[in-house]
Amino acid sequence: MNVEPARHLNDYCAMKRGLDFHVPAAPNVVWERQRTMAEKNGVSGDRTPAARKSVPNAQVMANYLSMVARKRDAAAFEELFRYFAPRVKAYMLKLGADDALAEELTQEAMVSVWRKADRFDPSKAAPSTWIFTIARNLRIDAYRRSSRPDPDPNDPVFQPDAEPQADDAISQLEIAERLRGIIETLPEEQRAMLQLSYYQDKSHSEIAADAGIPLGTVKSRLRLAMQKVRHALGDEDK
Amino acid sequence: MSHYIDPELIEGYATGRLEAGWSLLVAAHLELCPEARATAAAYEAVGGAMLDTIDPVDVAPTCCDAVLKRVGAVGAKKSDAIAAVTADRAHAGNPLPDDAPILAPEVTGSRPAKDVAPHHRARASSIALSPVLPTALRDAFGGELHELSWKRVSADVSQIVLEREEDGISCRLLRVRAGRPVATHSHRGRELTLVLAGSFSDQFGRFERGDVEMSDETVEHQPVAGEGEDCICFAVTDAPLRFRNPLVALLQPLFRI
Repeated sequence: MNVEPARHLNDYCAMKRGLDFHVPAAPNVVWERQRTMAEKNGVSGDRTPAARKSVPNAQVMANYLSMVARKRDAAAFEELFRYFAPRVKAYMLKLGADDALAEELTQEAMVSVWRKADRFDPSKAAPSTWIFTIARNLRIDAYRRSSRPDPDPNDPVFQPDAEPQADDAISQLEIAERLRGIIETLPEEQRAMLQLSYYQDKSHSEIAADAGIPLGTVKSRLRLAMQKVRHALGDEDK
Repeated sequence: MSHYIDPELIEGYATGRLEAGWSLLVAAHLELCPEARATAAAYEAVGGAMLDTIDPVDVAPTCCDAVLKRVGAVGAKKSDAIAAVTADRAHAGNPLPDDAPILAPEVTGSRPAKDVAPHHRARASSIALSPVLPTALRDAFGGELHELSWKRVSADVSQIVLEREEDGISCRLLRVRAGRPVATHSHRGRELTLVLAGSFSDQFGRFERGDVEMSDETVEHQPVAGEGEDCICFAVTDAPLRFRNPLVALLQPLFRI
């Protein structure tokens, strides 16, 4: 992306500033409720940094999303918020937003999570993947302020997927668990390529130029990483 | 379908870095190509896994309550909450996801897309009335093919240039009469051509609906539309083409090719 991010992001900030997002809160009450919810669901409610790094599984998050969708359950939402909001904020910061904008975009993302929770389908994507797409689209809008085209599955010209065979259908939630393991154990040079692509908007040739390595090396590292990913997704033969 | 898009384009689309013009072509291709959608879904799943493994950064302690207040959920009791769900749904209107993962087709059971779209059977006879454009293109150009006004470039070629932000990327629909060639040209940058109806052939093969041809500075070609049906393409390029015929080159600025 060629646009200088800070300027556009600040424009976005200015545009949003008319709205008052910042309301006084009672954080103690919030965290208290979270603890109860978390304990019920077998997730540590401890807020120490070490505990915050421990990751609840995708199934737990999918259940929270379902509770938000079906019952507008604020306590379940707070659990989602506690896990995802600091990650969405980290994602926005890595992409060049300043702290204030990262907060704003995180808040927007979490508002979308609440409003669109009934569209989340755990058979199609893991919660983290779904929320990644929300965060990604928000930051595209923040940079460009133009809408992003998406394929429309209800379009008559949409070519449907082949029917998955029931016996080798893997749950998206299991896949999410496996993928997390894969990303964590990727060789450093492969993970570095992914981070440049996802967090710094670098094309393969930009990555090659910056790192002083051949374009072919960048592509082969990314291809190796994606082979593992597609193996985990169960579609390595396609 | 035999010609696939460069995975880096799908990666750029899934991570969000791809410029809008190329994104439009990728979105249209994804609608027509389940294999490309699977690739896009894999890149999005990586995005999800990276979100899972990112080092979290503290958000303002007021942020969660601010969200709950904005969505009207502060102090909502369970019974109120259920009423709110019903009200929300009633207001929802169009249920289409504007930011759902690519692999989340919300196709309702009674309306599988293939039953509503007999275009592949009827296409040759009633192209004007059956849907040809994927949603992304229909939205961008403001209608289906028969609703758009084509501008003639030559006896055999018509086009519709998409008016869009000035970022150096040019997007157009092209219609080439069945069996007729396009002027021989090479490229100053990258050109992607997605076939939407009919077909065309050049030295690299035959391209049909859903196929994408990728060309760059190294490629000179003269695509020829297949017999029997006009070839309709969506073409995106980041630099003007280089025509061999000087007369055509002279007219280039006029047609913004």
